[in-house]
Amino acid sequence: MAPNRVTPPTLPTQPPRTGWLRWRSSGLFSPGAQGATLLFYSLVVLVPLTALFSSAFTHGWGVFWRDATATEAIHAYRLTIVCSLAGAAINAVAGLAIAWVLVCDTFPGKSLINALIDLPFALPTVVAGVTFYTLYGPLSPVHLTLTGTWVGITVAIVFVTLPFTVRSVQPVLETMTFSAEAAAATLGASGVRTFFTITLPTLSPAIITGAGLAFARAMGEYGSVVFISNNLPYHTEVASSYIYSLASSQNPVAAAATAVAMLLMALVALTAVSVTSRRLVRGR
Amino acid sequence: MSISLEHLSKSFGTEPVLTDINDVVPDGSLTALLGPSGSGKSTLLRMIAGLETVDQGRIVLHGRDVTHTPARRRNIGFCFQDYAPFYQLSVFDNIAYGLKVRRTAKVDIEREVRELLALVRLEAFADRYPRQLSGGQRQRMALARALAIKPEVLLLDEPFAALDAQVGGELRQWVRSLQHDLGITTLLVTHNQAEAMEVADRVVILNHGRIEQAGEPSAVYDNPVNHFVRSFLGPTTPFNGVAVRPHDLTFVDSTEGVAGVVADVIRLGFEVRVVVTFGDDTTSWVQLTHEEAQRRSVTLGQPVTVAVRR
Repeated sequence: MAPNRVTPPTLPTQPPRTGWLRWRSSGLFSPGAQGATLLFYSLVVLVPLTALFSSAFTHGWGVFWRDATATEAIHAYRLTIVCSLAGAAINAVAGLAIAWVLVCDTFPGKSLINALIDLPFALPTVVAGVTFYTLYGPLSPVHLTLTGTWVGITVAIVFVTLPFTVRSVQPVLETMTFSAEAAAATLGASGVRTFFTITLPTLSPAIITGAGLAFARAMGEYGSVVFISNNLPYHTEVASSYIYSLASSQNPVAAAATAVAMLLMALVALTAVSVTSRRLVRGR
Repeated sequence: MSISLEHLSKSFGTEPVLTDINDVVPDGSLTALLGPSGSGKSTLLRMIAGLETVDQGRIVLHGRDVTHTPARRRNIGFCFQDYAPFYQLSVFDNIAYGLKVRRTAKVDIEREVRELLALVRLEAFADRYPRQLSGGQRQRMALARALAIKPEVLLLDEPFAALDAQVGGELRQWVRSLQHDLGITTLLVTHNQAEAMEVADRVVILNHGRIEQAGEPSAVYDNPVNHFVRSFLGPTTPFNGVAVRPHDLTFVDSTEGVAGVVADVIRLGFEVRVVVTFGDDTTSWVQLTHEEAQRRSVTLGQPVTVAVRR
């Protein structure tokens, strides 16, 4: 007797989509979603920026250039950039050290410290400003008066931008196995040499990204620096404070022009950061 | 350069990792530290390199006590399981790293690195970065980097574990011939017994932080000192109340054996695995060559007599 012939099951033409393949084909990246994303971005970012630019150029290029390069404005830019650079540089070092301790060491209260790192972000910047004015103002309980100095402004900037480098370096450190460091040791390198030739280059894209964000944020800082700076025009007036004084003295066009100049400087800084960190990760 | 391990012990906290390790790795040999995961073999290798501290005992490199010498002063070449490439450096600079640390003159670095690149067949990749290399190429780069410092001893931690079977197999043969040509004392950690048997002149079998047996691969395979070593080095099957190698069992025509019935026949390439069930409900498997199985025309349900091969 011939065996019963069984029709082989028809194979599915495509394997079932599982995991991220199914997720990717779920329509999240469909043209409609792209359109919605762009619309949202336009409403939130592009519309206000366009309004700012059109306000800045209300009276044409000549007036814009005069407002944006006024002597008081130049002084404000210079102070803002110097203090922001100093703050970012200090936080690049301090943020790396804090992230290192939080990842590599164990000590009581570590998780509490870790949670407190983000406090400067949660705190209204005016609160930070008042705090520093109380601590380092004319009535300083520690007899250290920093009001009206670039040091005072930098101290305030360091405080409000501290989380950037810590939070950008921390996840990179957490995933490091340090086997490259061990390899350098077997090849004869000292601890210091290993740190500067192996560890630091590995961490530098994260450090630069964090410091770059800190710098960009510091450029626009107002609340935390407004009290300690004393706001003396041509001397201790930061850019945000100068823009505020222009806006509140019925000169919105000059305020917009100065704001546009600041915006372009921040853009240049962020582009430089992104180019630098991309060059550093070449070959990875 | 021989490596003497004298009464070495190590604990992580209260957990003993290695207990009273004594061994001498002979000069110029390729010795495999073989053991299951958690047997302490990688820790032992890292201790020899100075990457782990020693709790008790001594490590002596050719008469020089290095127990408390920092890793960077031991002049030991070490290849890591993940190859530990310096990602931000080119292949050339990876290999040159140890030479630069030693303040070797620039022309000498250039010459030596080119020689090493030729040795590991990566001449065309000098300016690439580690992420642009395949696993096998990264492994060869790591080997060249370790050899650049002209180490007295070469330590390889699971060098082929992360590679696919074919690349791993080719690299194994290549490392073996390279080691033979260079004559450098080499210690290799592996959990893969076939790998150890294939490349090593000597195996040291570790289990639970203790050395179970050490010797030539074939001697250890043929005369295992205990059940662990026997079962770790190759498959075993119970027969007549003892564990034997399946290829030591065969079918006989006489009655000088144990009678049973063929319960399963599995063809694995050139070998055939025959499962036999005996009258007392015990089961053994017999490993035959395909030719043997065909000659006896082994079929399911066939009555057979099993005996140990003589």
